[in-house]
Amino acid sequence: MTGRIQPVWFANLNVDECVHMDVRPILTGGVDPLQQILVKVDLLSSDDILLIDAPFDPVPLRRMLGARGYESNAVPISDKHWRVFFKKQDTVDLPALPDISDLPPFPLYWHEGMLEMDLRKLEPPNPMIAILKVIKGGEGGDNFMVRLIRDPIYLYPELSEQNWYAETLEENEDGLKVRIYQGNKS
Amino acid sequence: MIGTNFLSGANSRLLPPSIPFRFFMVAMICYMLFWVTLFFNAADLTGYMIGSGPLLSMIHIATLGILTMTVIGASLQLLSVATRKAFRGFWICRLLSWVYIPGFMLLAYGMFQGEHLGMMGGAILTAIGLLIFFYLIINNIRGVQGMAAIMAHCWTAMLSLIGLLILGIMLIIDMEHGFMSDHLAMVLSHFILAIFGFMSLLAMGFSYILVPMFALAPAPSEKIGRLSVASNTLAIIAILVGVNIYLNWVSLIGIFLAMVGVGVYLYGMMRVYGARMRKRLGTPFLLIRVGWAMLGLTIIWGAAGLMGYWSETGHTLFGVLAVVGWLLTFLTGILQRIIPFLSSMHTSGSGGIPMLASSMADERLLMVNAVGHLSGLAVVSFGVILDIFVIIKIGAVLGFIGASGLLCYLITVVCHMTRNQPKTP
Repeated sequence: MTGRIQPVWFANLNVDECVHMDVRPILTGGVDPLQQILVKVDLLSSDDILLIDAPFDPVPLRRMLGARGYESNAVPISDKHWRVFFKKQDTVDLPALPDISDLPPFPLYWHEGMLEMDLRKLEPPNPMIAILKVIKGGEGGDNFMVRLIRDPIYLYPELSEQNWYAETLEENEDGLKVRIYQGNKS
Repeated sequence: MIGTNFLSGANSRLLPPSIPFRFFMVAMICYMLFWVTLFFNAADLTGYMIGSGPLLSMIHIATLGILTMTVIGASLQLLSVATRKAFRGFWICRLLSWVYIPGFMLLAYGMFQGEHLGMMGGAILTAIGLLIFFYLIINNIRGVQGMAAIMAHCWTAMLSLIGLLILGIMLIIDMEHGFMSDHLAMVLSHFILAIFGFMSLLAMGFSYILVPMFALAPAPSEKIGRLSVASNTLAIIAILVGVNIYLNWVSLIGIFLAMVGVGVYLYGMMRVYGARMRKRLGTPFLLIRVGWAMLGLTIIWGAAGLMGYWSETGHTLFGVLAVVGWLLTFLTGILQRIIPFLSSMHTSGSGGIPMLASSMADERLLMVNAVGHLSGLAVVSFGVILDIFVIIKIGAVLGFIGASGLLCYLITVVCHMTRNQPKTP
């Protein structure tokens, strides 16, 4: 437990309010409890916390539910008793990502509410095209972040013509981190 | 704040504007000189094949004066940005201009006057200049990761440059001493290496960056560039072999490969054009598109010649299509776009924000250039087909008017750029 960061929801947890399931008798009976767990999970609301008593830390189950958006925290009670808590991760509806299907694939994600694009693997002039496509589509709002391997000097006049600007925030051997923002709105 | 952010770090990667623009300026003067020379020597054009004189000088004013000068100015700036390898010292770029420009002038003068010493001295200086260019480019592209197709174009073009330089100097020596068994085959080889090996491959290679950048469209896939450069390289080798061992079918295979290479290149460019975000591309792309059409026509006309379908003026028409129709038209289009683009990078308006390219000069001058150039091309081609020198003269006048438009535009932009240099904090 030392050194692990626990989820906030776990710190404020009231065990009596959890949806409880003890799989130890099911396993003792020689039955795989997975289907029963999944049925239980399907019935959970977004605020519910599922508490599973198990004879071990069920890592495969935690990975499976993690892929479905559930955070988990496992607590050893004794050598043959673990308590595992599952809660649906809080999500925020983010705007749709821009349509850049005509460009080679590159990492494109939301980071702390801001669109971020890693264009370092694209060859010129595709990084510039990706940036201008996002500006044109409007999906990035008036402020987004790009990671580049080259200083996009040929992009600047194009940005200027559209009242957009670039600010280099970092520059090192891994490339540049550049904020692209609309004029008069930053 | 905005102004300082705008070009943060960019100036260090841009050449001082005087370097690319000195090449562009000389290219534009040569552009006018080319039409003037054509006007005064129109009567001899269709009958010309080899030998020194005004027409040999005119051809080299086009190739070394306009085309190579433009290619040097553009590629020095573009490559250093694309490869992220800034030139170690700008002095070597300046040295290139100090050697190449007077060397070319001496060569053109020597060819015009038929003075062997002038030709030889000019050729040596020009060759030294081009070897400096070769060194700069090779040093810049060596070891570059990625952009394989563009790099392959550069490598092949640079190898062609070495070949054409050797042949060029040998041809000048042969004019005086006559040691070559077939001077015409060597002239053809020199022409093929210069027009298709060196200039066309550089023009095509840079198209994969410049055309998508100006049209604002995704670049064509790497496969297109690789297939095109492989086919075109094999085509040049096959044609050179065919010409020198007198086997027409080998040259025909070469022409077929060139059709594949050029066809793939044009397909890639058409896809870029179709996917563009900028819908109004203006006169530069009118010229660029006509240049592409002329490239296709040049290859088809070359195939017709190899199959024996040329009339008496067929070789002249081939030269007009290749040099003026394809390369000069295409590069003029690129220059129309690159001049305001580069100048805006070096220009600071109010608040430190670079000025809009459209605000620097009257863009109607570009229309004058496009209309003059294209009508000049059409009328000269028509004159060559009909073998009527008066028509060729009229075409030369139209071309001259067009060239004047672009030179005026360049002068206006340079004056504007000089007046609005960014203030250093």
